[in-house]
Amino acid sequence: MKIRNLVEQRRSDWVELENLCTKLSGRKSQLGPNEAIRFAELYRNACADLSLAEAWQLPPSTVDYLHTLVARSHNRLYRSHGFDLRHWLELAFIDTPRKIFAEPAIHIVTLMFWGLSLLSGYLAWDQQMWPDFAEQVVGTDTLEMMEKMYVEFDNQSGTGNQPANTGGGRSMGANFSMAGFYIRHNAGIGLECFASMVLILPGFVTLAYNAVFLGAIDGYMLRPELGAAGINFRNFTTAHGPFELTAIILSAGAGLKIGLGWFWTRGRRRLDSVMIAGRESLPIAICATVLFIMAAMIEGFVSPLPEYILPWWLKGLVALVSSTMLMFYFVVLGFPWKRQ
Amino acid sequence: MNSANLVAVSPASVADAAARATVDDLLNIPTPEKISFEYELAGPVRRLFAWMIDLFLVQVGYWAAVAVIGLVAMFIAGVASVSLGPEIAEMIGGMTLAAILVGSFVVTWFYGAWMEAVYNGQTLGKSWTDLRVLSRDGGAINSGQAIVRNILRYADLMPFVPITFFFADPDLASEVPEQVEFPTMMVGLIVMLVLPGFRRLGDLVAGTMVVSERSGRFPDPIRFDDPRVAQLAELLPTDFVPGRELAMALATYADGRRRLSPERNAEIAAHLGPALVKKLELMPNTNHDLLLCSLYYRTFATAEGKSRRRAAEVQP
Repeated sequence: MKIRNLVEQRRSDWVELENLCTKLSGRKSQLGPNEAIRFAELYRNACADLSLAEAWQLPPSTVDYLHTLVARSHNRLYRSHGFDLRHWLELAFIDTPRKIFAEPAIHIVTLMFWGLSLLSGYLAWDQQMWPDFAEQVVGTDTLEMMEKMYVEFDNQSGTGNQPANTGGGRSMGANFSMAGFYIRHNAGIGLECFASMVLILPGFVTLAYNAVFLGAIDGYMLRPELGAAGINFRNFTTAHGPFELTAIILSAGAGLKIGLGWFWTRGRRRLDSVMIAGRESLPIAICATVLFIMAAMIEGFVSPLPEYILPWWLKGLVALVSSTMLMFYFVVLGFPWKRQ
Repeated sequence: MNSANLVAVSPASVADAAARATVDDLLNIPTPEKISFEYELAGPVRRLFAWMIDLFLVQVGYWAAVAVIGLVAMFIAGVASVSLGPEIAEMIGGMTLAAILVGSFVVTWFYGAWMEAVYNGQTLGKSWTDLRVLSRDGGAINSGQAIVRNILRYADLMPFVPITFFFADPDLASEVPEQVEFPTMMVGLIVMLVLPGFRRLGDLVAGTMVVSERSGRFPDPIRFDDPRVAQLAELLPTDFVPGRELAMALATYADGRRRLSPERNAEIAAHLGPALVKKLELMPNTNHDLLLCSLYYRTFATAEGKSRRRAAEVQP
């Protein structure tokens, strides 16, 4: 048979397959049962044509065409699966806490973050060992601004510059919008931290800077001579602290896990090692994002409540409960119990 | 030597298969159907283009939606403040603002991941530029891969430079806020260019790649208007059977000559022509272009040629 005739004869099939491909490229588009069977048949035929192209000595331009046709059909046959909820639940409550419990990258980040911020907090609070520490790290302007802000943000008496008709503290509308703001801002920072930790150095610089900065502000604000501003600061930050700080550590730790994958390959090829680390650290990063959201809710609605509605010791209780929840998740769910 | 050159540039020849394997913007995918086909990997410029379309659509689309929602919320709040009092109106305002802020977070970080997971590896920008994200093995990506590669885009955009860096005039620079940062994208670009497969950092970690999905055009059949082609084909010795490489060279030539000037065709045909004239014992003044066309015609377009080549393959 002539090559030209053969190509002409097969061509109608190819064109039909191409039309089905076009039909399938719409969003969420599907074929009817008959068309689906026909699609599979035509696809296999096109594959066979391509594999025989060499033997038939088809012109190169036709071979090129077949390559694109088969590639296009292949992408329509083997599709992505969207989101599978059950799989994610198992991941969230069984696999992820265990991974976090045993993950060296998270241990490193935890030690570093807490070590640096406690040290920096002590230096800023103490004023003996390094007298101007807080001023040098944070800057005098920022410190004064913080102090002024917390003098004005008077959540003890409800007589500050907040609307009085909401019973002091902040209005409900402001609570909502601030919670939204905290989610966007803090969870965004968490994801940025996660991403930059993959390159290790920028991640460590960001994390260390934030640890020292936060520690210095805390130490400064809790100095006894600050009076009302310090008490307001304490009242505001206690409740959401555990979730927020843990979330920062988790996102950085998840990123560092990928970063360590570059060096610590556990006998795998370097790129494979990074890929596997990436797959394993994603749930940790998502866990961090969820914690950021929970922290933002507390920060938006609980933290600004005035002293006479929710006294400081009750906010401490909130912090205690959230810490217990975290401990339950990381230690009880996370401990490598024997699987039944 | 000349004929070897011609063979080497024909895309599907055996000699070229090895050369093709080293071309790193093509990727061969073996499938369950026991064949393998090629993908064209998408380079940085095209991908930047797709990303900018997405960025534009997301920002413009989202803030347009926000404007509409904001207006509706203002209307509701206005009604509520009259009927239910200012506290309720204030609360509606706060909730709307919260929704807008959370929405902006979700859209910024998860638009790409969601689109790629649900729409088979394509965002709107990718779909318009005919790009698709695939798993490294050529299969579809899953939601985890989609999220990882989209979050890690932040690392690929690094280092960020304050926008004031680009203003030489200090007065002008003082007018833009210092916090606005420009992503230089150097990390992503360098990783893409250094490692094979045009994969940025996010692709490496997620185990994905971006391919260009052309929808190929069926090539026009090769026909010869010149009646002398068929006439000369009759005169060619019947016992001469082109081998595989020569057949491919002829096909490439016959396909390509339609797009070139007669002078250029003569120049190309002159590489193979004299050797063939000598081998086939034709008149020395035979037109080389015509000779190659006739040989192609006899090899590919006549029943005789096909059966002969089959026979030749059986007895190498």
